[in-house]
Amino acid sequence: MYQNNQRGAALRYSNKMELLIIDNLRKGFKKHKVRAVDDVSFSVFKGEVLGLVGESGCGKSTLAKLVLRLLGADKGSIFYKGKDLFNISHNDMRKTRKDLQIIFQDPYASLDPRMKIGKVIEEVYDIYKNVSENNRKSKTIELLETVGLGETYLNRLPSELSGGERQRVGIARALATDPEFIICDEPVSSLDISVQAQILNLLIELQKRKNLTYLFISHDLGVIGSICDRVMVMQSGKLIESGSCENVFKNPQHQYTKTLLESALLR
Amino acid sequence: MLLHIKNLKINYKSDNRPVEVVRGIDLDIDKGECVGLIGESGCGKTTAGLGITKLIPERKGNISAGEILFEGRDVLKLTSEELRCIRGKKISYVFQEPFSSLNPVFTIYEQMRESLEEKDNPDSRIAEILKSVGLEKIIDRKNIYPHELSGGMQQRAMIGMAIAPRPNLLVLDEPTTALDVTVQRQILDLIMELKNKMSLAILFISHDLRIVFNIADKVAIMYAGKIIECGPKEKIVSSPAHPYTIGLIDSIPSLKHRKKLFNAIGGRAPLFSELPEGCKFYPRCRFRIDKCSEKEPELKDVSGGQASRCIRTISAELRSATPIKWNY
Amino acid sequence: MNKLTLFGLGIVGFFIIVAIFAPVIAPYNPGQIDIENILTPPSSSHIFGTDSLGRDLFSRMVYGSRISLMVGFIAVGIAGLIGIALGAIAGYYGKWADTVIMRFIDIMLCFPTFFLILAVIALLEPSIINIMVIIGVTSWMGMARLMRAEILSLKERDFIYAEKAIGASDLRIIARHLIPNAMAPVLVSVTLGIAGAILVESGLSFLGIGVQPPTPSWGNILSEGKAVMGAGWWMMLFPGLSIFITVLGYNLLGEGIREKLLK
Repeated sequence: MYQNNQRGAALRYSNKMELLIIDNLRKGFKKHKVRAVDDVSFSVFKGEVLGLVGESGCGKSTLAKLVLRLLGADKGSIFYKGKDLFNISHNDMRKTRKDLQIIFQDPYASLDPRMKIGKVIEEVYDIYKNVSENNRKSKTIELLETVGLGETYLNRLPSELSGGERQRVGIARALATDPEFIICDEPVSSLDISVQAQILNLLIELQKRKNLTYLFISHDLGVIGSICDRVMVMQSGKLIESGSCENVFKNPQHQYTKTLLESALLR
Repeated sequence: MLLHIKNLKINYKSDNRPVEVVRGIDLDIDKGECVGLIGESGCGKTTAGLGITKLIPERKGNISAGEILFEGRDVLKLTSEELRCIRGKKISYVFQEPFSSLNPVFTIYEQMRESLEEKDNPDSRIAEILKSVGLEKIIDRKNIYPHELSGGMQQRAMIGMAIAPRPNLLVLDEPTTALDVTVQRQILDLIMELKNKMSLAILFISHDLRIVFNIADKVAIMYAGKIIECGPKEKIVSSPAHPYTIGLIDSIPSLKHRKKLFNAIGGRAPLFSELPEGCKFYPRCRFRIDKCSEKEPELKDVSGGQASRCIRTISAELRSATPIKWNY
Repeated sequence: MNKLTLFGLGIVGFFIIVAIFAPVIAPYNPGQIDIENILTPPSSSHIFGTDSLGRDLFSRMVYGSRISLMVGFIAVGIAGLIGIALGAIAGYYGKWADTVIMRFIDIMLCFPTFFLILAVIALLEPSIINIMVIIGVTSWMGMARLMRAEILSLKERDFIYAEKAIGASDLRIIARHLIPNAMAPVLVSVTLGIAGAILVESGLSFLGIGVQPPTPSWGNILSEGKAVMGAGWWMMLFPGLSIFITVLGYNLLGEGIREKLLK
């Protein structure tokens, strides 16, 4: 049975480019006696931007952490390129980590307050040894430039940066491992609207240029609509609707999706 | 005119010298009118809102100039005794975080009673208020504490307390920012309903253009401590005149966007301690000309009550002809 | 920084300098016995007077500061290492590691520390090293608890998840990111702990089971002074005052750091 799953997942990756297959994922928190993520299944296709929309506490951030194995799941499986992430060796997981990255919502909490910006990036090279000692600095600068910052930021501390700049550093850190798949967990929700547009531009550009795959989490339907190809709607731990952005926004099936669309101040 | 603010300037103390964070704003609010004050974080909008009733703590800063006429009286010249009769009574506030505005050790009923006028019968008046803010459910539950309510209900309770003394002006500072989308909509609907029913004047402060465009009659946009454009909402939405307003409106995410890049504003907002010469938006402006850096433009009328602090006329042709630098 | 903190820092700095430059500052050899000048009151040749063996009290005080401070620093260093390591492990790994460590702390806290030290010293010989170690291993529990509490809240922060996502090992996360960010309250505890350790050492030496004569420490000078209290008031005044002022200095500094870092 298990073998079949594994082989099936491998086939689905090679035939249909299902980069990530999430199968019946479940996570409960003892304290709250509820399932934060309740038997969720979906696939992410290579090169797409898949949106995940829902209100606070619906379990979308927990789902993000489960997918990257930053939290342990109670049940279910995750296949990345056909590999079962819950059943691979420590060493393989380490290699796979490189491919899967995450950008967080709160740029104030997502950087070590004591670490200089240059060090934040260099640490990645330090862990993977994928860049030789001599090239690290120039690679770091190059990466900072990619996200719209520059050499002048190398020796600054996060507290000296604005929210938007910190978010760029977070993006640069995620890019440093040269990933294939990035989870964007509300990356623009705490930013001012003009900065939000800048960061969305950056994410759109990067996605196109590097053929990245995103799982883009947001509570803002406008943001989802402006960057995603497909969208999934989540409510109390369950996926209740999914489809292409156009279909879901034009023809919402589920009552909750309709309420969300009506409430959103869209133009 | 209910509220008439003229050339209001507010300084904040900082390590070496005071920093002017509200650098002279003019704002008028009529009875029953909702004015939206839009600005991004750190532009001075919250400070301006607090300044209306001199709510800036003395150790943090002070109002250095200006005139605030509320019902014809200059607020800045009132004694602290007279000010107390206005603050929280004639002018009420609602802030972003309902939970931190409510006192966790008192019941909602007790807190609400505090804000009543003396002539009111507490029980019947509180029931009336709870009903008007959509909290009928808790009318008979006098012993309910703030933590037992959801964020949306807490904000409803806050709004209830704000309207309890029958104010003439309600200052709402990001009242829905901490709330979920669906709850946000309900609170906005509630605010609109109260405004119409009580003919309240509202100053709605927010960074979110979408919300302000949804609720306000008049809009003022702040940048670096000054209002850079103001006017009737319809005018601002359909034909923004200031490059910053244009950039903000172009930055609103929408379903129609479909992975196209935004016409975003480049760069970052300047710090108050290092404002540029001339027009404060000049370094980030894609329509700038040399003359812009010479002196800060005055707010000048465009048409139909709309005014903009820009020396150029940004026509639709100019907008499409001016390249956007992808300053992401 | 407020004036009291600066005052505390001044005291602490002053005694550290005295300890470092003891050979330069002390006018006499602290062990040099002078039978002709027994218990002379403070004078121009012996500014703190002499003790019952005619040794220069000022020189003994100066050298004694070395012992007192060394005991303070090293004992707290040991306590800090144990407390930080165990606190970090308990906080980060949680589950059974947390349970075991926290219950162990509970057990350690059940012992009246000073009597535990007395008992251990009675079994072992009262050398300086033993005293430092025993003070260290009986005073780490507070720091471990502080560390654990800090780490519990820090480990849920996004930057720790980000570290996990880039594949950082547990050791790297704990040592490079969690502990440095959790140090502020521990630093306060360390500063206050030095004051505590100096007091404990003085107490032990006063009781005669601390640092053994002829090595001078503030505590045993005080103890010797007790015997000649009527004849030589200076023998108790100066060590007592030094202990008092030093402990005050560390406490003021600790409070200052607390205000500065934990606001």
